[in-house]
Amino acid sequence: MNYFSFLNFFFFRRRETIMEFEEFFKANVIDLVGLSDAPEDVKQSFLQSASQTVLEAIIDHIDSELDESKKEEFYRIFRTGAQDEDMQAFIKANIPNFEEIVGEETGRVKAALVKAAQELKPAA
Amino acid sequence: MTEEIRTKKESEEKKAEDKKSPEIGEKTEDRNPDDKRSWFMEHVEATASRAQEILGSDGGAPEGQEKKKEASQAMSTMGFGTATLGGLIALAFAGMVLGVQKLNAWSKSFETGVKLAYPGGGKGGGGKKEKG
Repeated sequence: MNYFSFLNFFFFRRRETIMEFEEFFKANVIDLVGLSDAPEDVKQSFLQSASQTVLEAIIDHIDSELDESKKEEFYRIFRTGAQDEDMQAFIKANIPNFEEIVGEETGRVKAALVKAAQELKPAA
Repeated sequence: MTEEIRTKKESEEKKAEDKKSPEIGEKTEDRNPDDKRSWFMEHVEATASRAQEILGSDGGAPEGQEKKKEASQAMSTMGFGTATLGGLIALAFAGMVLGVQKLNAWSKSFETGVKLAYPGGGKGGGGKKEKG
């Protein structure tokens, strides 16, 4: 089953191919959303914004999984000036599936960005 | 006179053309750099905004949003393997996953996330497969 047929008329339409999962995973999102020809600062700004979106999605995900007391502790640790070892210790003790959450949210945001660019293209 | 009208019309057409966002893959080297930059910035903002709608999160109450934003900024600086989490996410977006063990380990859950964002992607079977 191929989950990337939506890219067929977008990025690789000239090659008449369908992007496979591994290809999508390894593809630069800059190219996928049509910014290959953009100035470097625009690309950087896009990557920063996309990374911030992933981080916020990770926080939402964690927020939905923790109970109230742990949630309070989480927000007490993860704030401006947080110590790396405190954050690491909290994750290790309370969020055993942290890597899965990071992977899942990164994939979800990358796919949403590509889909958004695809939808906006006809209006461009 | 006719020449003047034609020149004016061509100039207006050129202006209208310049206002259009560039097509994906379109060469834009011969466009004014400032205009080119603003086209791309508009594209970036529109894409980010639409992606947020697709992701379907409003971040909750304003007070909660502030807390989450601060937590996300702290988390971006958290060590993750040999880099920070923020740095590794940027690498993943750039497709630089080879040799980054943590990111390779993410690929299964990454696929889950992609399916969540595009649940209908496997239906329809449209398009042609590249031959050989």
